[in-house]
Amino acid sequence: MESIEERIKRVIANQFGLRLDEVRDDVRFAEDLMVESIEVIELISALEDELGMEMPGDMIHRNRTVGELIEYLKKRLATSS
Amino acid sequence: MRVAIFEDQFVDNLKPFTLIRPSFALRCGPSLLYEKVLKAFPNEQIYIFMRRHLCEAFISRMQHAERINGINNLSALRGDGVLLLNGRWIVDRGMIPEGDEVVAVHEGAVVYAYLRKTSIEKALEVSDSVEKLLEWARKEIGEKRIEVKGLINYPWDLVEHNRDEIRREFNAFEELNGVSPREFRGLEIMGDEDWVFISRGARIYPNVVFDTSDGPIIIDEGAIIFPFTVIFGPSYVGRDSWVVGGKIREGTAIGPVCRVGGEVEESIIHGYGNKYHEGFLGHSYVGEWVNLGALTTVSDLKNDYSNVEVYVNGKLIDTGRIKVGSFIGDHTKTGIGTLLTTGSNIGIMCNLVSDGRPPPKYMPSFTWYIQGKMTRGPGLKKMLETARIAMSRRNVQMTKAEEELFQRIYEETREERDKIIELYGRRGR
Repeated sequence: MESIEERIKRVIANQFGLRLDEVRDDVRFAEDLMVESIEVIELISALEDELGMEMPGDMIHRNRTVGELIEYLKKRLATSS
Repeated sequence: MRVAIFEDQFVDNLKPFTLIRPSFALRCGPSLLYEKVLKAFPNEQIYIFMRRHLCEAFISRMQHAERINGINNLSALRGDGVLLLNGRWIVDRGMIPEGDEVVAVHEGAVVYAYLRKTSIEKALEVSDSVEKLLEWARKEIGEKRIEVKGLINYPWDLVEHNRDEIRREFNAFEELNGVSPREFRGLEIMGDEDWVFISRGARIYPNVVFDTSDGPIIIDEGAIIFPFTVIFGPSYVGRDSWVVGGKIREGTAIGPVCRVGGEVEESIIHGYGNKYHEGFLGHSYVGEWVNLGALTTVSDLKNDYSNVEVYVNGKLIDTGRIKVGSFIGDHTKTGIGTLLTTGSNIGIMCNLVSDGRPPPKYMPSFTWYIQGKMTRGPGLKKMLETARIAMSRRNVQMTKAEEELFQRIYEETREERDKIIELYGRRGR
């Protein structure tokens, strides 16, 4: 069974056409992936569908790397459950 | 006293415009930054210090060459006191104390420095570049921290200061012998008529409205304002430019030999630009020889009113502003109906052909965006051919030095271009 971390990385990989091994914790959404505001909305929507909960619109801005986002979402999931 | 204008290490933050010109040749209001220095110091010898590879192309095209006493010639500074001015600064002579040795620094950058003759001699003994000379001065003379508004850090700072510069430079135009607006039948002035300057040789057709309620309007020599144009001050229409109908909103500076229509607000069109047709351009800076196809429209406000972020030099920068448009590099063309997302930064010699969706927010120089995908396009040779055709339509020939500069920049930007094309290609753009 996939871990939370693997599920988040799979969603990110699908959104940006990356291989799973390329979605490292240190990848930066802005500088490395050049994610734009529309793509941020699409990514949040895909993560909401995957994890089954609502997420704030500024979470990519506040968590600038894949690793930071994973940690943030793990905490959020733990709190909500 | 001698005056030396220098570029510093922050020029990369003004890309794409500083890829092919020194930072002091950017426009803010009616004039370029170095032209403001020439006006502020009409009787002093002027020296410029700039990136060596830009020199020949810059000189081949520059106005006022007769005012420049030397380029990158440090030893020419010997024999007198020297005022060194950062080329990114909208010079304000009133801020510079007369006669005192000073190195004025703002946010880590030298804004201006004055060194007496003896200090210059000492500095030159240990300096082989203007950077080293300034390093010596910072250490030996000491830094004075100052607050300054007109230091241009990013392209949007030029847009921010544009309206104030039009207001400030209006006084100099007023001293020239202009034509009374009353001589143009059908020109309606809303506001103070004294805030209109129309140069001799400019033409204004009937059914034109000038609104000076918020600032002056300057129509420079040989400019033509066609019917059904409304211009709101402060605005500047440059030499031999045409406004072919539409709304020129406040804070707009149009450089020489442009063709502008549709709606423009708080924007700078550097010169030789075409935006002939309908479409909105706001809070933007447009380089030379750009053609914006009909209905090209720029967003300058995000739907959630958050600060606009712009990719500059590989980093996403929060502009701290909610209204920021696009920055469009020299010789870039957009096809009909192109939409540019808020805070786009488009390189030089790009070609954007709309498929209805906005292109990526950052387009490296010499890329094409066509059928929703970023590509390398047809290569530099074809791009140069197109540029030569565009220039010949305004009776300008690309110089050998300019061509060589484009070839150099093409190679210098290759790695970034390849990387970003691959990045976007993998997500189908």
